[in-house]
Amino acid sequence: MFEAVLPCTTSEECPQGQECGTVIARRTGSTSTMCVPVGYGSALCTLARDELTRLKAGTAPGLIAVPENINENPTRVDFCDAGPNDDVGLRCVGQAKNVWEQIQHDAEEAYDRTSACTFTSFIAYEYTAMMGVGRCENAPTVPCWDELDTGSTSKDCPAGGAQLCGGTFPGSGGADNMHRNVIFRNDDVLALPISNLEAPVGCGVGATCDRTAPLGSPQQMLEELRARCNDHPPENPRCEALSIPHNPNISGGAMFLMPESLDEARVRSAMEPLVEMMQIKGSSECRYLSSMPGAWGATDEECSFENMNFSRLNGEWIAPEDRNPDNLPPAAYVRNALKSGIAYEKMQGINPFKLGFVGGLDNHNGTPGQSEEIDYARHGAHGDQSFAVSGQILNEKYMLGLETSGGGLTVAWAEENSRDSVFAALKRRETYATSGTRPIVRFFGGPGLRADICGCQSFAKLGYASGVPMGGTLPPSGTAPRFAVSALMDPGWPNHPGTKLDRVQIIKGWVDRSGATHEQVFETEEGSACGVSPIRRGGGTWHKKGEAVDLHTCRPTGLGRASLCTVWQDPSFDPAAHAFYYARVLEQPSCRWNQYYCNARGVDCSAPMGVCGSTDPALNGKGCSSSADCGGGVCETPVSYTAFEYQQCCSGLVPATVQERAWTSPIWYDPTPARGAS
Amino acid sequence: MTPLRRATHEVPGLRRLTRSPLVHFALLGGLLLAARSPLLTREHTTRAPVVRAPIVIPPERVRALAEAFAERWGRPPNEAQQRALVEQTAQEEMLFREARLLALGLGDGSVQRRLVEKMRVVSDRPGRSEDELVREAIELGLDDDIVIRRLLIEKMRVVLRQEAGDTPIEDSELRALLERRRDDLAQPERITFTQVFLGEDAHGVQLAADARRTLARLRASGVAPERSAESSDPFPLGAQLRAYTRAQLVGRFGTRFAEEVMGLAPGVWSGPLASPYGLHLVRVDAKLPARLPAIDEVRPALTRAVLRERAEQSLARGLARLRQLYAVRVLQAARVPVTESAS
Repeated sequence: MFEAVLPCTTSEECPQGQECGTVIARRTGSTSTMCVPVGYGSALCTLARDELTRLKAGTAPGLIAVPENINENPTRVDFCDAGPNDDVGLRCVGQAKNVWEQIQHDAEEAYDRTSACTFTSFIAYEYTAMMGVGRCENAPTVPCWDELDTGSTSKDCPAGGAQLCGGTFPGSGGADNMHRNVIFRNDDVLALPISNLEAPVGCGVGATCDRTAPLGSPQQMLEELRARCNDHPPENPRCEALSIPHNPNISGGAMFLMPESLDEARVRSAMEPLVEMMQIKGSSECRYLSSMPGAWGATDEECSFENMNFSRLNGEWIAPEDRNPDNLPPAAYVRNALKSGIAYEKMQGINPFKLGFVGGLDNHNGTPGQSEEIDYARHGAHGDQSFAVSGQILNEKYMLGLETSGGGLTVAWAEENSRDSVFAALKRRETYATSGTRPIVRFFGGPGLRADICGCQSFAKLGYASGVPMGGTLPPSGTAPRFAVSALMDPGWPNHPGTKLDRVQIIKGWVDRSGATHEQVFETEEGSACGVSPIRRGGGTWHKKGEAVDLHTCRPTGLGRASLCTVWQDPSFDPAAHAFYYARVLEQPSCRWNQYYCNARGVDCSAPMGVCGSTDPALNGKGCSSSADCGGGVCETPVSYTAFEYQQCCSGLVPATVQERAWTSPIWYDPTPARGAS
Repeated sequence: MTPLRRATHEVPGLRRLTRSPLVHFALLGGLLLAARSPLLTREHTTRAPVVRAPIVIPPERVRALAEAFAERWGRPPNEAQQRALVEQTAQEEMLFREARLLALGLGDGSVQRRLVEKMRVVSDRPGRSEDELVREAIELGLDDDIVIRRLLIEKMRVVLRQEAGDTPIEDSELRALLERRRDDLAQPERITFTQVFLGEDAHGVQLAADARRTLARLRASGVAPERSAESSDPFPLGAQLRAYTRAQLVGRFGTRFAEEVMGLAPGVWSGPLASPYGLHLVRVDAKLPARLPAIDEVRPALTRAVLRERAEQSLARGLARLRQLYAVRVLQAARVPVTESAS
């Protein structure tokens, strides 16, 4: 962002293209006159400076993002044009290239190319397409393209969309997030990233739609990326990239619309092996509400974990009474996408959503790996420009407020810590996501897996030898596959002990003979020792979920296990049915970031919010929750917190604890003989 | 777009790039080489310094510096910061004057454009050729201008950095840098050890006693490493942990365990060592001491670092040399010199 350095009294004193304008110092609020770019003081730029960097719902992000990111036919804003004949926006293209080159340079500086492999960086960028409106087929949950073109027919809605697309829904603010993280294998990268300006997800309102790729789909971008990179053209002979759908829970369901064509399914299958399961803006695994179990497909109460109540990026907060599948489309969730993927595969022979799991932060703080709840309570997201200095931190209706989490992490099982090795692991989906902690998790599957593998020292070696690892595919088999999970708790760090593990679950999804999809969550039992006798001596199962954390100190109280191991065999295996299995490893509860924050502020929800200051001796000094309790007096809070903080800390709007977890990439079962081998 | 304008328009990450000497070299090219003055060369400094007119910093400038600082950082500068601000101001004035002596503005597109623009406003005959306008602007002193000033100061810094020259980088120089930055560049000590793990879950209250008994057995029988695993509870990372650094051990087993393992003598069973998982009996198989990488392993990074160092050293030398030519007077409101330095 521009930083004014030249004081001035008239525009004459400023460089070409700049003018003398008023600059407000962010910290002190004092004003001075400095040279600023022409347009710096315009309403749009002023708004943008205030709002854009915080990714906050506001006018300026809309004004800039609408033409650039959300428009079905995106264009760069006017100030990008280098001259009257420039319809590309060469100025901004040039700036984009500078940034891209800086990314490459910084990635190279950070990468340890020695055999010590101490640190690996990747060259990567984010593709930031969004849809202000959706595909007709997703109506009425999302207003469709044709709502803007009422009554007429189009490629998207051949029958005319008006009657289908009339409805609006409570979450209609914001845009369908179709963002992708594009990661390159090595330093042979494109001269410029393929952004949504070059490869949009739409074709333009009222424009002649002659593109072959469908609307609201990443197909065009992925095909260009494949052709210009993965197909190794002469300009980029060593290029290889993959694309990771990111934050699907705020895509309004657009992230996983069914492919319109086999071409789309193929390119997604080839270019998108992974999906982001978790980041600060919520979990994308699944959604569950106890008042309507199964409404989003899952009857699994662990699916109520870190659900953001926004269906779209910067959208409106969806109030409790409006939380239904129409307003929060089920297609936005990964588990449903996995099911859709195998259902499509059963019919078409290819799985467009064969997605392993990664986690991310997306906190815009430049602090990779900083996912601890206690850190989020200190720093929040988007640096000091957002909630570290803003009461919005505790506002559940704010996109970056109370409902956000500390963010997730990715683990890749790679032979060594190098770009090539880690990229290969990402590509074969040998990854797991965590909700921010650092447990170690292994997951293998196969009909030939040893039933006593848990007791054996060489768990991983036996797993690779007799099964496939997370992310793999099992070939057709008449025998029900076994799945083995081994997990080791996050040890924590000095003065901050890790949280012990609670249990391991296996989540299965499958397609029945009619083509309908199903899912089931299985609790597992402790595995037995190598040989015969069980390892444990104390007996009992490991389902000992309890209050395992002291809410005042946030120290664990010792329940749970340091490690877990299980072997599970599918009791309802159908050799003819497409299926996937993934493991979910749950920790014992620990403090969520808001509890750290509230503790630090000295909020004690078991005590009244404040005490009355009143001239009435009967009321003066009495505990109160508002000034109404104090007659004509005032309810005064201690200096350490505000009334808003107390109310939000003690409202129960989000839990005080969080059950951190890991999700392993699935292992798929493919009953098709020719293609089954992984 | 002028170089200046680019620099002020860019996002913070880019500023480094546009400030990097390489970019400026490309922009300024041979002009600067041609303009290099004998004043800057080494042999010249052996003569008596030519004293230039002193640099005088008036009180309103001192006050403005303090105000600008306070606006930016939310508090007034302390004494040391105030001194640094004044010194920086003096240095910039010095660089500007030296750049003018070297005529670094001559033929500079940005400077010319600036002068032409100004002359078109003030001249009674704005329609003349650009060359004429520039000449008149210089005669009128219009080139002492905040924009041109900023540009010339930056060019002067580039000139001083560039004095590092393009002497080929010898391996000896890379080696010296590697030695000097040993703490950053050394590859850490690594340790490989075999463990027998006893988990709390499996042993309960018997854990400590079981661990002592197992350790005694391992020591007494001289169990081969590959057989020792039979005494161990399963551990997800396996019985042998290979080439762990201290940092990796801390991250996975905690500080205490890491310190203890790194301190063990190789070849013998030791312990029990406690970790968050339980107790570990440990036999160190190998220790790989910390080592500096071979030059060829890190050549590109070292080369970049040497070039950066050379440029910064050259700049520092040049600044020091020029500073000898100037006295700096900081005036108080009463126009009495309060400090005077002619270092």
